[in-house]
Amino acid sequence: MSLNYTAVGWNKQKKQYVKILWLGILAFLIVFAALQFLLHPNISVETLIIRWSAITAFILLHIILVIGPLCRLNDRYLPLLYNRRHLGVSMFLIAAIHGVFGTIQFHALGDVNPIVSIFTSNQNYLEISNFPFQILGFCALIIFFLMAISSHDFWLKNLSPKFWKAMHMLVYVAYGLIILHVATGALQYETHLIYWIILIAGFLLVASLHIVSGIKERGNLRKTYQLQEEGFYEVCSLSDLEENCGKSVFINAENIAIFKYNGKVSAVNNICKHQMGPIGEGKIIDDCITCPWHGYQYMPENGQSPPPFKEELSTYNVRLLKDKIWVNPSPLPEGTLVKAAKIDI
Amino acid sequence: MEQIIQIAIYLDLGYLILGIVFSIFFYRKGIEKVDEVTIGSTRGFKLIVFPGVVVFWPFLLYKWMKT
Repeated sequence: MSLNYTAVGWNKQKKQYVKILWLGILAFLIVFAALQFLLHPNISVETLIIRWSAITAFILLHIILVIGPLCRLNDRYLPLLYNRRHLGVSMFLIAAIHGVFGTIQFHALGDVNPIVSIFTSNQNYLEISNFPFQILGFCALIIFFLMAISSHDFWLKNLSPKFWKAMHMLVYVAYGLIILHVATGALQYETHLIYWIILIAGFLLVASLHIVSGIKERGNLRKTYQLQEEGFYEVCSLSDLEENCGKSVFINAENIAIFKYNGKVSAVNNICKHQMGPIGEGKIIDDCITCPWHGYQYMPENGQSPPPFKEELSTYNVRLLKDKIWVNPSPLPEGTLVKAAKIDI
Repeated sequence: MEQIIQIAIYLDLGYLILGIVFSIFFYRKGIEKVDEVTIGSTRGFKLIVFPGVVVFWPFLLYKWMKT
């Protein structure tokens, strides 16, 4: 949501986020290097970098994957989601360091092209202990690369939000590849049980948070509403909505966000035009509905972004009968002005 | 196997070289037609989307042809 594009839409919060992130990464490098030199005095710098980058990227990938479900479960994690793009690109850069150093160390010393060597030097696909795990890591790195280079609003708009989202959902394929890459690679040499416990615990954490947040979301979607008259459905009481806050409802396959503000109630489509964020979980800020994911704004009565921005949402007719909110789930064309239902005091 | 991988690498390289050639024309004439928000955008922006232009060039070419 900008007048024109910049390389990075820096603000104070983002700068602080990236500063903390990279200070953490560097601090981990120092502690890890000290421990490695202490435990393995003969370790080479290349091996140290390969190990550090592997562990750092692995931890960051887990953090990235749990941010989404954590935000569905609790609003307080939303600042992490707002800046997840920086986390993702940082993770890719560190994973790329791992890939480059690993390729140089294990595949660049022969007379075969290093990339060809990754795919052909080991073809024991039926042996777990000697599986060509580097191919799995290579494929995951390609996915991370595609995600990193398309992590800009220009790509979200020009590849279309649907395609962009689908491509970025490949992170789960990449995660599966990384789990197998670690299980068939490093854990075949580092056989201590603690490494397996960490790998499985990380996977269970990611999986369980996704399941729990999915169950919560499904409960919201499954709720059925009784049709009353003229196509309007009773969705909730006024008291169910906090002032300047929203509520998501799902009626006749329409995903709708209802907001109460300034003595009025309005309804717009619940899917943000930016990254398909849940508008209904946002708030009214500066008289505009504000998406909780990245702060995209829309005016509640017409679903239009405030000028000069051009994003538009569908709007819906809303009625108030006593203290009950009624919504007609037939969407009006994006940006259509719908008079808000006024709350009688 | 080795030959197949080698051919795949050459095909990928060819695709990326086409992407680089495309980017020259795209930055000169196409980018502002494809997305008017890029008018007046910074050099940093153009640099940061460059790897994407080289990789996703068929999408951009399709959009450019449609304008």
